Amino acid sequence: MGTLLRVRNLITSFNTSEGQVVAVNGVDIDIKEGRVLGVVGESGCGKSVTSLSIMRLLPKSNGIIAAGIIEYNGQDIVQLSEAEMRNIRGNEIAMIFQEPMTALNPVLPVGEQIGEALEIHQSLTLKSRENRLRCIELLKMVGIPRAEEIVDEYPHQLSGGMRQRVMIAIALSCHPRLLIADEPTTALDVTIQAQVLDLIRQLKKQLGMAIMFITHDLGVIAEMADDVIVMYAGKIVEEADTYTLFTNPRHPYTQGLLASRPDKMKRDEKLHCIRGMVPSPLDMPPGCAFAPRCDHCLPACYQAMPRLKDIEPNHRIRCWLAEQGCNN
Amino acid sequence: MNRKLVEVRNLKKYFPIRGGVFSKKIGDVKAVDDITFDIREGEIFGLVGESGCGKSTTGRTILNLCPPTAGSVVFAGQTIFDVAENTYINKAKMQKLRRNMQIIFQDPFASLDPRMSVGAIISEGLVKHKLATRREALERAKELLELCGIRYDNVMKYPHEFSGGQRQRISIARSLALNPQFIIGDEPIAALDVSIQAQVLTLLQDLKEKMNLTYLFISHDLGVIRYFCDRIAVMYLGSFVEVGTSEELFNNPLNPYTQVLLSAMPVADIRDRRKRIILQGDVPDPANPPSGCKFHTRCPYAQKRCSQDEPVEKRISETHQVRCHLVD
Amino acid sequence: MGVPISQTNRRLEQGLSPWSIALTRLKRNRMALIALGVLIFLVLIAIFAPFITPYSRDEITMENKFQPPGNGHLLGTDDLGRDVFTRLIYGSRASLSVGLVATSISMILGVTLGAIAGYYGGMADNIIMRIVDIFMCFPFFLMAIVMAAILGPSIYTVMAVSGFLSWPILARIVRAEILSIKEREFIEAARALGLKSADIIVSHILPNTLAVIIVYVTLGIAGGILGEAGLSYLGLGVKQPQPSWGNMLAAAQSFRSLIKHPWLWVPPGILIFITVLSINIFGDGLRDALDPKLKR
Repeated sequence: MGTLLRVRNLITSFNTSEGQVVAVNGVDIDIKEGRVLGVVGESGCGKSVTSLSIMRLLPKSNGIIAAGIIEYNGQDIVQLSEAEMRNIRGNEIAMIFQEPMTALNPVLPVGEQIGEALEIHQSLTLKSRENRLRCIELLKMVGIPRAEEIVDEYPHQLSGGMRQRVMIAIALSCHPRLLIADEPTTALDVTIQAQVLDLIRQLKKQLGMAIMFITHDLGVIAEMADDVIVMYAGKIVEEADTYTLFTNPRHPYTQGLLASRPDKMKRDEKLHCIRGMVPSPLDMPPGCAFAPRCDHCLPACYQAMPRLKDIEPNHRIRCWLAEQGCNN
Repeated sequence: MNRKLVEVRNLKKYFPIRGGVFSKKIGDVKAVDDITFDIREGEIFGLVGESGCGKSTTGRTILNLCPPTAGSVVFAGQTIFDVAENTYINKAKMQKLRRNMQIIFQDPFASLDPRMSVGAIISEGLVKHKLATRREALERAKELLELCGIRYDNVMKYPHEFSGGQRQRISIARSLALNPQFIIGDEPIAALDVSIQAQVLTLLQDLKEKMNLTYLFISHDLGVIRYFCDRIAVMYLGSFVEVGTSEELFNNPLNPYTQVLLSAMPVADIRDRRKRIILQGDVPDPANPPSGCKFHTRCPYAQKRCSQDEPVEKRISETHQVRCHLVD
Repeated sequence: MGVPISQTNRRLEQGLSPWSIALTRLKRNRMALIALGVLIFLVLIAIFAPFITPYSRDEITMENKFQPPGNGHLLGTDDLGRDVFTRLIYGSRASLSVGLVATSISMILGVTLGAIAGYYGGMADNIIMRIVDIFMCFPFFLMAIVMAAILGPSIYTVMAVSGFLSWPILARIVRAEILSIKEREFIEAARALGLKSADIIVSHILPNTLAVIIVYVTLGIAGGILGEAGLSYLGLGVKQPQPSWGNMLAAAQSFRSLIKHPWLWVPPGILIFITVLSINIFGDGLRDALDPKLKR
């Protein structure tokens, strides 16, 4: 399987009134064709900024890709012009967001919004018959009942789950090879979330695209991803295939996250807590960013940031415990 | 068994839908539709359901924060309202009773007045109820902050200077200021990060022990509900479909909706590959609920009579009740 | 229940209140500070007018009429030989006080009625908002002219007219603001604590609407000054011999003066321009500084 997307040493920063904030700090990502890469982390860890960097959709006023390469299909898209990038967006890489209501235009019928994407990327004239038929076909593909009627309805007439399906239909309208899904089910109810996750899985099988799946929910990751990246404070702290990550997590942060969920906990057991909170990006501790919250902290942890190190094939962690060869 | 602290009988809360030129009432949203339950002293009672099922409205109606449509609520022997007998507690008594019952909200950014210092926020109740002077109340606020895991020297700071998790702790400190017996948590951890959720949940557990609290815990997160609550009610479109202890409900779910919720819950365990029940369709409009069993439109096991007759409550055990035609 | 607090005398960390944050932000806004400086300067001139100029306000010296600037008269003299500079700085008293008084009237009416409509809703809201609608149907100048004609032109008429005609906008803004604050969860939390309505309004709702009120009141002063200028120019406002920027502008009504005596009408025009511009810049600065979307 070829590597579809190769990100090396991506550094993205924002200029704010309080100073420069480095949101993503040296991230390496490989997404292979047809695989699902899960990116998990808490708010502010840089997972969404990473995806916006890949799409080159950072807020123009203050967001910049300060360094790094983002290679899509062998081509560095950091260097592309805005016009060339537009061609890649939608045609090659598509994205779905957390809040389907704000991502859809409230004054246009959903059919027209899908149609627009078809017009831009597949030159099907907006009001034409083929365009409309293709819209209906896409709506059916994402499991929308009464597609012939829904195509003329407005976003506010649809439920949250339906809107997210429409977003997916728009994203898939041009057969992207990579789909970036940024918390696509966070705003949805459990039963609807199950429907949408199921849909994404089916579509992936059907269309063979690669997916970068961003979420804070470890449960969703366990269900969707082939490989997982755990991010903390703008850096990758652990990287492995899903089975390894969930059966043998090695970074203390990953272990803490997994133990924080009460899903498998007995009722009288005490929940494990990661103490403290995520450091402010304006005030990062020297050394490992997780050190102040870590239970296995060594003196070295406060001095320098460890490298992301292979501890076994396809399993890397960024931790001094691994550097020093101890097992935890 | 402990004595009953909260007794809710046939509670209904309808929100009128108004339309037309003269804002005539054209229907009702049946947010809470005839629910009956007790909460015993020292118990954690969980309410779980999807958005719009009426779980938050239930909490607010019990606290008399919005006027009921029908039914009665008795708190510690004192009738708050009984619509059938047309008795309502008077204003002065209610204000006194409010000291004993408090609520913690979901959004830690909206629930604290941005223009008040943390000390003023926490001590407000004590001062306004004339239970303490301003100075004493501030001392008490410091104690409560420490109790909730925030250093007391933060008492003069303002809400915007804290993170989401810390604000939720402040919110909890405020609710404890009047020494209540009963606290309603309306999705108190839903807006927080996973690691912070565990911290706040643990804090709530500790406080319950220290201060002999009784909780009504409202959440959409089954994993949290199962772990945290003693008894749980599953709500669908304003009604309870199943009530039981945590063990009964999770080991032996009888109502198909409970089963669906359980199977839809993503679990961070790669070995746990359950067969999911994926529901068709969306939650029906609560203004126009289906006839018979409200779940029959989405129920995988629906039969003819489910759409005709409303199921009655069946007692499986002293603590386990279910409403479903298929359970005998 | 007592929680031991370590007895070390740790100093309480002083928090940054939203007001002090607004102040810091305002201090960083150079344009707003310059505008504020100009306004303070104008107010000081108005207060200390008698000490600044050697002439008295209404001193007529017919032999000196239409003197161009210079010659002991900084900005020349008018058709009655009165010193234009003297009248200009005395005129700022009239103009500024009309702005302030008119805005105070509109603030008292607007905030009270807006707050009642917003907080209590229902019938009160309906009645007040219909009155607002009616008021907003009248063109400002037409109403002002009619009222001035009935009441007779005087500085008090101008104050009353601009005050009574501008409150509806403020009432609408206050009502909308209260409606949105009322829905916030901290209000519900206050109710759950058993606070009385009056307590909730005074300690939660009003402090949170104050920012918006301050901004609109500031901008309202500019409106008052412009209203005075317009009415006085038409001869319906401040009456001679009392000077105001508006009635000084009226000199430009004569074609001869417009062409030949620009020192009669250019200076009051410039002052009106500078004052209104400063108020607007400062008001915008306040709006930015008081923006409730506090940065975390």
